[in-house]
Amino acid sequence: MTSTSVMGGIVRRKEDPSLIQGKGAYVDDVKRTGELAAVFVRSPFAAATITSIDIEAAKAAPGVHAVYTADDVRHLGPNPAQVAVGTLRPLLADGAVKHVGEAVAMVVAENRYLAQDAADLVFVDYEPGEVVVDLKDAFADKVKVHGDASNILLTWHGHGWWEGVIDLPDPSPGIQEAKERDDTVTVSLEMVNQRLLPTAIEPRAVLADWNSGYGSVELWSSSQIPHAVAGAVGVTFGIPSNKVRVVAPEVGGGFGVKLNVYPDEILVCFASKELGRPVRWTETRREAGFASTQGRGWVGTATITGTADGKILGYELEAICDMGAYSHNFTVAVPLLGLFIAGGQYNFPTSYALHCVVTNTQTTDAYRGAGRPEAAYYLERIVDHFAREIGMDPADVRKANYWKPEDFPVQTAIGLTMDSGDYEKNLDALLDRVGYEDLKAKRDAARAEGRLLGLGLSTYVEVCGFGPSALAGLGFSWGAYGLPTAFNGSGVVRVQPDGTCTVTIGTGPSGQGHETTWAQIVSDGLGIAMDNIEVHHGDSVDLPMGIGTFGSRSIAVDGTATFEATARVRKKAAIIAGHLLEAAPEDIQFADGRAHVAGSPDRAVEWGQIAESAYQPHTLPEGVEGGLESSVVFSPPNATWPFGSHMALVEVDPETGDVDLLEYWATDDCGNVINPMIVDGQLHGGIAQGIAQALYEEAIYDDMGNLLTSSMANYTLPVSTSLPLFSLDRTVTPTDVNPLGVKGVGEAGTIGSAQTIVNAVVDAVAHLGVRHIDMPLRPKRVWQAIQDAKE
Amino acid sequence: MTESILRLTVNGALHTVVTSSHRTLLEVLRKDLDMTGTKHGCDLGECGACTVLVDSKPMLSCITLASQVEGREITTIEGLSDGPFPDELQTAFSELGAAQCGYCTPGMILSSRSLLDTNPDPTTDDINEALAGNLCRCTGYVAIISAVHLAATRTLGRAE
Amino acid sequence: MTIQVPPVGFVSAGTLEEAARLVSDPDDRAVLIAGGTDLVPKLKRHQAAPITLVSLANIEAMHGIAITDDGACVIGALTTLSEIASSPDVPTMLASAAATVASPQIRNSATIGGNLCVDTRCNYIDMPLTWRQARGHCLKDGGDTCWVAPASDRCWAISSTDLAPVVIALNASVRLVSSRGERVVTADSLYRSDGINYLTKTSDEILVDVTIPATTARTSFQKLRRRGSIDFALLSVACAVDVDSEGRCDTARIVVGGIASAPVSATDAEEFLVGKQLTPEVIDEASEIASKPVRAQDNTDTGQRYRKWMISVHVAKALTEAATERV
Repeated sequence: MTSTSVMGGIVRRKEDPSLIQGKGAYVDDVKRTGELAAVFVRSPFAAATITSIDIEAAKAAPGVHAVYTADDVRHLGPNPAQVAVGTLRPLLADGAVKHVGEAVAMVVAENRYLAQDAADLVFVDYEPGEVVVDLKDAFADKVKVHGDASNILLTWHGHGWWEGVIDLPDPSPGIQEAKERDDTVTVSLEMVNQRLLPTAIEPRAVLADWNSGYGSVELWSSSQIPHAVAGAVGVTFGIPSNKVRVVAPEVGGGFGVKLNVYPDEILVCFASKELGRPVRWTETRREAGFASTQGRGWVGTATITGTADGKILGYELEAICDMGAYSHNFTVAVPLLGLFIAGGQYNFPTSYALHCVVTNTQTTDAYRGAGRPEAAYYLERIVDHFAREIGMDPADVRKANYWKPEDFPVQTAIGLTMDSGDYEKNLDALLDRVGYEDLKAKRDAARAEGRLLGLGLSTYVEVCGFGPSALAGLGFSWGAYGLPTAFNGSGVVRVQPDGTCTVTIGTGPSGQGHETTWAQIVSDGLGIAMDNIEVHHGDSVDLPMGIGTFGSRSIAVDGTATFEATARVRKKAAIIAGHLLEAAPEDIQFADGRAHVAGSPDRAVEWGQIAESAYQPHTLPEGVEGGLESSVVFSPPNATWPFGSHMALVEVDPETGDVDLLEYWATDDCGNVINPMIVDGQLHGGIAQGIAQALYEEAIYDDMGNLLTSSMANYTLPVSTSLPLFSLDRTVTPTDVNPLGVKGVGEAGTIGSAQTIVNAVVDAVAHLGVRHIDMPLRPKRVWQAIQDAKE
Repeated sequence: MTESILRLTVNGALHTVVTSSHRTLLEVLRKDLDMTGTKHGCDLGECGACTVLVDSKPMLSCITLASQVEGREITTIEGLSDGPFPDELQTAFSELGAAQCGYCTPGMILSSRSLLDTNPDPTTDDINEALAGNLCRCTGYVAIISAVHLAATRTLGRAE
Repeated sequence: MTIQVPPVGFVSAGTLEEAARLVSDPDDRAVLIAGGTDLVPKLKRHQAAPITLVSLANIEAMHGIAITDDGACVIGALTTLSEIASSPDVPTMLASAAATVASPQIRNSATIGGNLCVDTRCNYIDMPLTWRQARGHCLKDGGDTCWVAPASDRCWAISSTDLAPVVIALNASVRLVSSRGERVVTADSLYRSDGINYLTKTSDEILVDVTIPATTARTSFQKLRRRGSIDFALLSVACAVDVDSEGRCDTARIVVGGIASAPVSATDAEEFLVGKQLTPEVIDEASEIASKPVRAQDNTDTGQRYRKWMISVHVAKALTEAATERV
């Protein structure tokens, strides 16, 4: 491959000229003639039987076209895109509601004002029942969410999750033995990883347009997975996939909240079909708390047993994980994903039990990191705590237990294979850069003066780039969407007759700059200028299938598919160019928009000429078919395993408990880097979300199942004055899972950061007797912890 | 619903809109004037995505009634560029990756524009304070702060 | 724009007399709107249902900042918070406080009149309508019970204005105009300790301007809130102390906001300070005294014990900063 300068270079984003001028079209910016507006009637109760629904007044209200309830949509069946664990969510509540905000009826009217007025006239008779919200109460299984069914949907065990496929020994007996030794110390912390609201700044929005003439439907949705949505719609309505078009235009942030097929996506299609007009629904910010999925929500205990020299002999994690009332796409899989890295970068036996329980609250599902931030949190907090208990530097304890580079590929405790890693080198790179010894001295000097400075460290490995495809069958039921059950990637590279290039990919970005990074890959491979390459995504008709964007997978999987497609186009173009230049294809090189003979740059032909020939088959050499494009579906052999080290310096105000985040450093390793600016941007955003969990955010439910933090005033995202400028650096340890050597980075920042902050704050107040403070570290909590430790 | 005639000056052009008197400026911009660059994020004035400039000062169009801004100069993101050419600030945003999903970007750019127009050489603290009413979920604000600095530097003709 | 403002009329009053007339009859259900930064969200949340909004924006008499011959500062009620924050003519403490309110965008619309009259807040009412319906409407919401203090017969919603503690500490007065006439009241007496009827100003009166007498007091404003922007104060302290030539306190005003239904003057602490030097020990004791009588309600973000502690911490900060202010 001829290398241009684009790979690894900072290249301006192709997305930006439109976005910076406000010309990006998000779903709510797209208009359809004759649109109707939909509004949902939602349950004010967290648990109730519905004894009647009176829609007569609503139906008669001005401008109303229809009022739908479960009776009207029961025949469609439940949303097919739900993993069949536990009770499935009906499209509209059918005789009962299980969380505040569950949709009970849908009103469709000429505009949103009229629809809302009519919705106020839907009278639902509820018989409220007992509500269970607290996780421990739910686990105790006395008050049940669904009839007589146990609240405990399933328990993921570390060694037993892939029974029959890989037989792994139960590490518990070994860990138990270690605990009983005289020379070991066992430490434990009960910790909460609190529920969060993903809060993309663009609320979810859908617009369906059913064309009864064609028997087809077009759905615009702010979605990370347009193909999956198309599949689910097709399956629901019994129409073939080539009659469904789902378009995710500009998407204003995803973070996992747009990684689902939601009932409203199906319901607007239904309404459009019934009414013969386009139907739109847009979420209000408050509605996001009931209509879109939430994140995290674990209560658990982490335990480490080890010797005084820092060697850890066993790690145990038992947690109760809040599923909400109904599972969606990845709900029960999120803890499982955490399990994949629950042992982290460390070579010690690990034993886990993650109990997935239902509660009378809105569904949880993937939220940036999806299980891995939770797992990294418990592990890195307890490792830090262990270090403190044995009086050893937290960096040294980590190094004493890391996998070494020569151990790779490493089979983890639960049977997956980690591709590559050099953890000690990465940690040392961070420690050198921050001047670790000096920082510690600075902290200690400040402490001597009575100031509460704290230094917090966390390192992590995470698993992403999903793949491998074999995983897909184990609880990620894409088969239900009418899609092949697989975790593959797609890329189509097409050279147009004029020599410019169109790339179509199966991703569903929401700000990650795919149009730019993919253009870099293709530009590097074909020598066509970035400006002459257009990358398309998000339209389900453009590509037979796409899995969408989540789990930091796009570059590793769809990027590789595109890389392969590029290689094939290049190969064919070399044959054509060779024919035109009377040279052997092996002697052809591509750069600067043309092909030339190696060593004779004047013997060259423009891409336009190559393409022109390709589209006139009679000009082609014998045996070469017309056209110049390649479509690749790539199935990765493994997931990828980025890693990194983060450090934070904080100062705690002893009077108020306020935490001032002074500095934040991160040295992350996501393998090869194609666009450093975009990669850094993903780390910035990911770190900000982890810090936000540590300091600011919490989705709080009262005991009646009401979400108390449903507006952006009381669900407090960090503002610009809340965060310092992060200092990023990287190490590069390529993966051999794909030819690009890339691992993915979208979630890594989040996975490394929340516990870094908590470790720092605990470090600041540990000498006062504090051992742990639960997130979010609101000033009052920190202050209270200091007071409690005094008593 | 009482309908009124509202006369709004947006990006230098006078628009006459027949709409209800309680429409917010955001609704009038997006629905009546088909200018969709200004976004809605929360509808209650808590996120800044709907920021526009009124007489050059940033305001939240989702909690401003259109009736309140008759006779005043409204600038939206569509009014910043000179035709297809972005201004210095927009260019800096694009060079430094200050936009990711782009949804907070119109509001963020307008708040930044207003800052630079009144304080051409802001410190990082000044920038943070000026943008403290614009939430971003993607960038952690890092590249945005850098972009505002870069735009200031260029406008002042300093070496970068 | 997925949450609409419910249908309501809008009238822009050209003069004070016109505005006063428009709101003179309560049956007309006409309410005043200045910047609207609190009112418009309230309308969207169905926390108010007026028939007409009477805009004061075009009333010349309500704009502007003037210094009188005796050095008093007269601020028109329609002066925006950003204008106040950047004005060299207003007392420093007022400018500092105005600069901290909400967010930059809101400060460009919000007015001092609006801020002084801003509605009280409570976890139980600042919730969606469906939540309030399911829970049962509280007293302020037209129901029977105060959910903060169910045994009480009054509403305990909390005063949320940052500027009120400041103008009270500066011994300001406000001018109220209605179709019945005009009166001037001290800023202090504008407030009533009730979460529903929190103003002694009647609904037909318009707050036209604020007059702050000339002062040599050393001042400080402290505010506690979760983030550095957007959020309402959990607590605010406005402090003004006059010291004699020997550095002893002549008069002290310490006004605490955000903890009760009206701003609270810490009178015991104020009296304690008279005649004393503002040493760290004196400041500590004063701040301890200031937090004693306050029964901090648990209806916003923080618990009672921490809230009381924060009062003394912030009174101490305010006194310390005021003591060192160069006047």
